[in-house]
Amino acid sequence: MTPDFVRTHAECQYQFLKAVTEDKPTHPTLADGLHIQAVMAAAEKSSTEGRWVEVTEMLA
Amino acid sequence: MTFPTIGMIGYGGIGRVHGMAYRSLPFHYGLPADTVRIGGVATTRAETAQAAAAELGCGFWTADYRELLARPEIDAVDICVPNHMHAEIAEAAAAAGKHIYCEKPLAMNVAEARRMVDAAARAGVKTQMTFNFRYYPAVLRARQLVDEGLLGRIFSFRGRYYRSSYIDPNKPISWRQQRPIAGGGALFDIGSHILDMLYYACVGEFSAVQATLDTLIKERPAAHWHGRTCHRGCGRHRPAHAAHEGGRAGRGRCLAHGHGADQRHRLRDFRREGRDPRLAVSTRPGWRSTTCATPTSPPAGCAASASSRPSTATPARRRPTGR
Repeated sequence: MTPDFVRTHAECQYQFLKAVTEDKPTHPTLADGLHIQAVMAAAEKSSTEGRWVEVTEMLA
Repeated sequence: MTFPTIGMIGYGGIGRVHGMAYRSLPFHYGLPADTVRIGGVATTRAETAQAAAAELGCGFWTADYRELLARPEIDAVDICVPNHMHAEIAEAAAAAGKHIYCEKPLAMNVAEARRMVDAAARAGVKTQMTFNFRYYPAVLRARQLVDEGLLGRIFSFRGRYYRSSYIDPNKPISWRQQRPIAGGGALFDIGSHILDMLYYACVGEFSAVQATLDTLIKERPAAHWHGRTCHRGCGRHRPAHAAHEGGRAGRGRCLAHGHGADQRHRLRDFRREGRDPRLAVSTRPGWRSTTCATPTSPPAGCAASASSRPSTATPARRRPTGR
């Protein structure tokens, strides 16, 4: 654990708490996490099957 | 300003990092100490929950997260449990009307992740997750330069995240190497970070992926509490993946056996067949390095002038929201 690692968490938390308080959009949202989840799933499928995998294929 | 009261769910390694970071907020942002309120903590065992509450200085602890969700003074939950519990807790939190702050990776798989997104949308609660490396000033600046059109159309990109955290084959297995708990290895643990950094700062949504994943260390000693000599887990992946869309292709790599590396990220764009990067972002050492490398680019820290912006528009892709 490095000081700048904790500092990025603090900034991420601060932006979240401020956005909730002011009723403003947050980021990254769970929807952003869903996209990354689909990319990771595509990576695993690609590694198994040895081909390019469309990200939309994982969301279908 | 009154911030929402936080309930922490999970208090292992990353839970303590979150706790430390919450406690640091008044110092970083000049806030009264009581602006940031942690109203309670839930873990899976009474003794760890009680110890967590003592460390955090909060009055409520429980070994059942549902008891925390039932408390009306809790406005938002911070989910720091291992990955296999994210979906269940997030869905319950949304049903209880709590805002959700969740550790990465979001879930074990796409189906779970989608359920979490849908539950939060139905409940109308706000969500955020800890892709905290977005918030390195160097990464924020890179995103700003891309938004300002400094790079024009990005043809290719590279990102890498190396850590040395599991280079020692004698390091005992943790939940991070066990697929039933973690969902995946280094791809999920640190690959999710570098993918998000590329997604956020440079390229927007990925459209296709080609990857080679490998588990380099297939067996590790059991942690002492398992009472067994050896576990087979999902190990650590060594992925090299590329994603392309709209004429741009690139590569993200993550490695949990990067010798001598602690937290090391790099992002680059390459305009001509892998040469001539215009933008290089490094988060080590410190967090301040964003470099525009071509002579026509303004130096980092200077606003891009209109005349220096390439006229070629980046193809329209959905980009994540953010500053």
